[in-house]
Amino acid sequence: MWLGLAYCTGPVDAHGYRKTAVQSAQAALNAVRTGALAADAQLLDPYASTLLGDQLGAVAAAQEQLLAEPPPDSGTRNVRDQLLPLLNGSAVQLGDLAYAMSTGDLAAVRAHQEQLRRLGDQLDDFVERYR
Amino acid sequence: MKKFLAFTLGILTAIGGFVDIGDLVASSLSGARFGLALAWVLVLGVIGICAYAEMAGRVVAITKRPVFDLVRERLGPRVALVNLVASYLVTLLTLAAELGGVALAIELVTSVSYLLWVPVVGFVLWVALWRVKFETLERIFGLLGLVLVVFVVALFRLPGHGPDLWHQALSPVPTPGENWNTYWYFAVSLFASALTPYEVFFFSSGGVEENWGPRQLPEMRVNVFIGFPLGGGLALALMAVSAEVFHPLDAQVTSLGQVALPAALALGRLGLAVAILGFFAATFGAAMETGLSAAYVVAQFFGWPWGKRLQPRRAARFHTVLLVSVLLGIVALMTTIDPIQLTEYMLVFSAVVLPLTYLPILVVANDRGYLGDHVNGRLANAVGVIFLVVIVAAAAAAIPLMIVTGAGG
Repeated sequence: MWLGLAYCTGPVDAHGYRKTAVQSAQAALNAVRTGALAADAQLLDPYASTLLGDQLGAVAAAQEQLLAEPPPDSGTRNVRDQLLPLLNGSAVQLGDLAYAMSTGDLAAVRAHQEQLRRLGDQLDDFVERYR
Repeated sequence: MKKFLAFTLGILTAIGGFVDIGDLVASSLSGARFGLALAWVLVLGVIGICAYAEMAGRVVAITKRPVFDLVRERLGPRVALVNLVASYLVTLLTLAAELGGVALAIELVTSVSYLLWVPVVGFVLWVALWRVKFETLERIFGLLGLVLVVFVVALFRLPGHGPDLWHQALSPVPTPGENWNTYWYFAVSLFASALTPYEVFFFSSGGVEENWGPRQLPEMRVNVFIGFPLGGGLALALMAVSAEVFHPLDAQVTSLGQVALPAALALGRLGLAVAILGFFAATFGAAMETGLSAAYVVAQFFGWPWGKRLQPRRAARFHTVLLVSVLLGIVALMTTIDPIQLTEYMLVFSAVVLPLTYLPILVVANDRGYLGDHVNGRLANAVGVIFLVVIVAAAAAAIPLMIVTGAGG
């Protein structure tokens, strides 16, 4: 059992790293899709701030999860380099959407919604490719 | 006319009281990931809870004793002790999840962290359970829970994918990108959400609190066979709106806020406000039921005076267990565990202990010494045995599936 635990807590291999990357991408995908949907609905202000705050937290956790382990080879380094900009973009767009919704700036809301949809499609492609 | 009103009120209470945090979470998560491909599990679960709740209700109406009391007498203190420990721990976990659900619902309308609301909710719950009459509590929150019908309205207001939903419901297989292990993991969780053990403890003990006798059998059966399936319909509506909004986007549901979003998309701010009120009523009502159930099982095992019909002074140990259970639920949440994840784990552990709850009911419902001519007939036994096989299979598969899938991955 001790050996099993030692194996589980050791450095991840390429397969394990890809799995973590897909989980992070899926978490960000859930968040950006939810953000884009929220931009379409008429929401109560406290609800909107809580909902988008939860989604931002989910993206931050996904970033932390991805960066917690070093990629074990050049292939997985490439995977990380593809995903990180998407995660960063998701966090930025969700934060900006929350601000635009709180100030009632409809043009900015639509612009961020469009960005979130585009990021969602890219994250969806990523998940499909590496799943 | 008075009797008709009593029947109607009972049915409405049963419908509104059916949904709890387990149903909210399991139905929405499954709908987002599998569309309606797991709808059959919900239907199966509702048939199961109807069959066993009717048995438990019949036992109470004839013997005027709660099921757990008879379990100890019929199966002996050692078997009953195993049952007690497992049932209490799972009910405690459920209580914590329900308290978390109430706090999350309040967070959605205040944007103040749910963790700050947890102690407040625990205190209000304890005061309500101390001061308010059993029937009043049951009626208020059962009827308020009816507002979850907003998700049925939302289903018809959302841009139509009706044929897609039908296709998903008639194709009970994993959707593209999902595998069989995850499919069965969610199936077990959904099944457990319909048959959560506390429902039987509360139902049977509530029957004693309300002084059921043989004359109440028809009313009990109407509540079970009409109220529960219609309540299951609310859970199905939650699954369907989630399937319609999130599933086509490959987005999963991970927060209570997302569960309410389809109501906002379909019905705007009013729909959203009603949905959140429904969450509050469903989870607060279930928190009361689980708090009472935790105290019921302990008090009934040890033979202490119990129940809301007695003055707290005369049922001091019952009320002490109730208070300690609420405090433990608060402590569990203050560890900052995510209430939604807690609910997912609670459903898995509920599935594991299901046989300990439902086998004794089947045994007692077949005992002529207790029920005389009211023992199970062939149909009740056939349905009961078939479901027991399903329950044992779900219990055996729950933990391995949780490990293999990483709790649904």
